[in-house]
Amino acid sequence: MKNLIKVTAFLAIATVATSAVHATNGDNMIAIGAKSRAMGGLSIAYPQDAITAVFGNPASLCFTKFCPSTQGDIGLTLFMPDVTAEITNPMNPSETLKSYSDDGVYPIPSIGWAMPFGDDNRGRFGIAAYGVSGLGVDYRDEVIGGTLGDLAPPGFLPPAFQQAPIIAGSFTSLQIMKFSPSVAWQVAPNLSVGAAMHMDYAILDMGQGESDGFGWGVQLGMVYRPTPETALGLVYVSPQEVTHDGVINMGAGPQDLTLEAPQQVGVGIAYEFDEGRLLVGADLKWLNWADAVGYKDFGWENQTVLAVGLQYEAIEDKLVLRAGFNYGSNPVKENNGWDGSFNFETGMPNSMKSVQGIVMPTYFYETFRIIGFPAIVEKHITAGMTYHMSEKFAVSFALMKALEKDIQETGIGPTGAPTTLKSTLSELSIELGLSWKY
Amino acid sequence: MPPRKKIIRSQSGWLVYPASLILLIAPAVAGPAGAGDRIVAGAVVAESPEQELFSENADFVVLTFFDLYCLACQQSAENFNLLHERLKQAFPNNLIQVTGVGIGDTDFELGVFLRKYKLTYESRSDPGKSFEKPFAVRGTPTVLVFAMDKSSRREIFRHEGRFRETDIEKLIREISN
Repeated sequence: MKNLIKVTAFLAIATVATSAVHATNGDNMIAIGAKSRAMGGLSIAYPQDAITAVFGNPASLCFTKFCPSTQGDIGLTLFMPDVTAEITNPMNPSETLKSYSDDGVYPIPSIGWAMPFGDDNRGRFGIAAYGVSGLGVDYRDEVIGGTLGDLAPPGFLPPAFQQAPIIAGSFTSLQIMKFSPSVAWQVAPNLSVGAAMHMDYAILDMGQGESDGFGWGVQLGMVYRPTPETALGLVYVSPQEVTHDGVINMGAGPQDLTLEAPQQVGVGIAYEFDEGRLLVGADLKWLNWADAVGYKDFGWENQTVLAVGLQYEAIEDKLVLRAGFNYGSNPVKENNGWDGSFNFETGMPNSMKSVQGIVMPTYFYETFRIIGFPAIVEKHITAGMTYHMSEKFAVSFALMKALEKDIQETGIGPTGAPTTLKSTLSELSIELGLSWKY
Repeated sequence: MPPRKKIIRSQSGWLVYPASLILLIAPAVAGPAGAGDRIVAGAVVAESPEQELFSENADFVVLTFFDLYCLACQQSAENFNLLHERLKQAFPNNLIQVTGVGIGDTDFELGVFLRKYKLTYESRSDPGKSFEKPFAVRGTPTVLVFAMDKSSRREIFRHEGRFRETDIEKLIREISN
């Protein structure tokens, strides 16, 4: 047990150290674990491994296929986002500046473990560590990562504007890792309840250096099996707040920024056909971004996520095939008609926004929202498989493609000319998972 | 001391559902029960552990190990009954004894399982899990088949995990061979 906690902690640190840019449902991953990801993120009523059970619904630890054995799962996701930005050249409104974020391949490890306890194995203890949220862009080597002075002819701009950035948010990085012990108990043969404690570790970088912080929250869940073939799940996740000290500087010195992972409510249903050979399920989740500190300040809206998935046992006890679809409405609100102009004589913006006491010009507020945090993808297509090498060991694979989605808004740019801001995001991820039962 | 006699009939009804909720406190109210207590869906006998699961006259003995709290067992219950029926049809000239064992289940818990899933063959509780080791039961459900002769018995089939309809045919093939 001690060793397990050490390994989990190590991988938790590795999770944060190696993950960088990922976003799917807002800035949350659609799923943790290859089996769940391959089914569109299905995890509330019918998760199939220890990682997914802890992430999706701790109560489901009691009713998963791996029960009553002890199971360990380890996974590695390679996440490949593709982000581009297009903005109107502030110095030449007839020109559009297109830039490509420096996106690479981001490895995101995860680990989970679950074991039974109590009479009749009615209880299950689980523990998991995984990167759950992340978002960011890197346009520092692109034209929009430069200054207004780079775009203007010599002598055109007042000296105070020469070093002003073209946009805010040319480099952003948010990573949230969760370490989550959980416990579940079967209060009746067909009813299980569970709770998990979430310990969050988050790192935020707004281009002026990293700032990390800790937060915590709880997750409560219930799974009811009205018939042996039917699973109904209900889960609640509390809001989880992390404050990043001195992470942002808008000219008044380093200031703190608090970001709160939103509260979530989810329901799920799954049904097994043909004695479990075919499984069909759906999850519906509501994420309360509009009331989450930080996100609400940047105008995020509540999000509804629908995940549907199916699984077919192609070769009995050997090969399982999966497919799914995940839709999460874009939470980033599209603002139009804003005034991002500056008074070049006074050097002051004509319109300002305040975020947690941090006052920023409207133009920078909007570029930060649209270019710096484009968590906009909505549709995800997923597929995957599991091959049981033996009774105890299985290998799973998952593929996720988030279809390209853009967000575009218009307002008045720094020089008073009409300006368009646009971000486009698509994602591809592949995941390998290994499971041991013993 | 004569064996305790309890009869639990395989009935279903609304009482099953609230009764299942009481299971939290079931161990406290069900009273002590050991491997020697044999609850059957109709009649009762008490014998020594392990040996008492085997009828002297049987040609084959099929043991189904289950647990009320095991989902795969709940999902397999219908096929346990189907197995019982198919065995009678497939081997009309052989005596094939089918016995269920509620591993870790109290009398009360076994009763709930029997009522809810209407098992058609004799079953007994094993709250102390005394049959777990002798039969190397690693989890539930587990189905074992023994070929019997006068002096010994031989395990000829073992299935662990959810018991599907296709597993019935596999089991029957093993007995036929």
